[in-house]
Amino acid sequence: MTESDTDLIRRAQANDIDAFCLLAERYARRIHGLALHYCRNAQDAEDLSQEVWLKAYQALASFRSDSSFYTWLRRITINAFLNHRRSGFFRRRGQTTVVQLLQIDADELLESQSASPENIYNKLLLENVGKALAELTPSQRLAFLLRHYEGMSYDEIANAMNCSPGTVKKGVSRAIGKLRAKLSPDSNTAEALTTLANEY
Amino acid sequence: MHNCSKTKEQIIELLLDGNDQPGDRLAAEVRSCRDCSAEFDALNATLRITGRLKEMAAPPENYWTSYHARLRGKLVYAVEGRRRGGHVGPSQQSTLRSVLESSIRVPVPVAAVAVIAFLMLVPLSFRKSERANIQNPSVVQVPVEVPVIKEKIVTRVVYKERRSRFKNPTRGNRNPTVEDTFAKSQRIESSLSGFKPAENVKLTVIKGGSANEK
Repeated sequence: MTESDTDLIRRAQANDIDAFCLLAERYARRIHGLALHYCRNAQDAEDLSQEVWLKAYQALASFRSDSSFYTWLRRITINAFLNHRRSGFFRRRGQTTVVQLLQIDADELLESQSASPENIYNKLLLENVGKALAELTPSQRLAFLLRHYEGMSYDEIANAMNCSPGTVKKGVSRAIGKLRAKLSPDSNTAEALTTLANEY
Repeated sequence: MHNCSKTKEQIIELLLDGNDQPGDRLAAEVRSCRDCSAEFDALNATLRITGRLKEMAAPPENYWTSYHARLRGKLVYAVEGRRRGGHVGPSQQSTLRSVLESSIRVPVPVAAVAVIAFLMLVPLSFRKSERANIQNPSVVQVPVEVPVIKEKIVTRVVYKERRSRFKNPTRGNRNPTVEDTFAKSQRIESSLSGFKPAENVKLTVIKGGSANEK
């Protein structure tokens, strides 16, 4: 029988690390995914997501069940993103694309059994998406991820990012416009990808 | 009237909400405009591709075992560090930390005025405290042994000769009367009895203090 979040939180608040680790196992993928798309580097994403968990453990006493545990955790994550952006954490470590996190090795991919033209096309297309995401400003990227991946409303995002809902809406719209321009079928990159995929 | 940019916004909101089928009104707008129809398809494809990235970029299952092991290690290390530092528990430290690290945003002019007012008040407060120190010296209570002098009442009877009014009838009267003058001359006569005046009288003239006097 699995324990509810409330029970685990109560135990974790009494300094039970095991209970907290169980909570982490439930939500780590979502937090890590958000970090991965935001900082676009596998190592940064792991460091950042684990830092979020450490902060959450320290601040667990302040959790009052007014919102869900994940909503509270996501707020900590967003604050961590914004703090790291201000401190230039990602720039110091260097920016890499999603290629790293997808761990695409062209030779390995071609030798593997899943090296069908469709798979190669998908992988390269996603690499292209990663590059397109990298061209967004951090604010645009964060707003887009929170709206598209997390399904947050503009008001919620604005509250979390400490800006107006209009600014968030504009940021999301611009982000989608940039992604559309980068990924549209008539763009040169997409054509090149299609050609490349057909070659294999 | 059809507005392409407005329709584009509506399409984005529709797709972001997870619907790829527009409502009747929006569908009619999209169908009526070739550009809007193309925009709808392009945006739908873009968001579908970016949505797939979320699934595709997920690390493999074996990654999570090591991830949680590392996280547990960090948690244990943090807790141990806190215990070594003398803290009772993470809850108390987090509360203290949140209080210490909390910050409020203050507009720059307000902050500047507050800083100037503070800088002006600091010297004044120092002066006031100095004055207070001068006016109100500190009182130190030290027990000191003091010999107590016991008062003694001594009574002595003094006898005073009583003067009769007759002997001093002019007491308090400054002008001598005729009787007084007569009594005085009688006392002088009695004191000159037996006095012989000399034959030669030697006179010595004492010159005055003036320089031209001779």
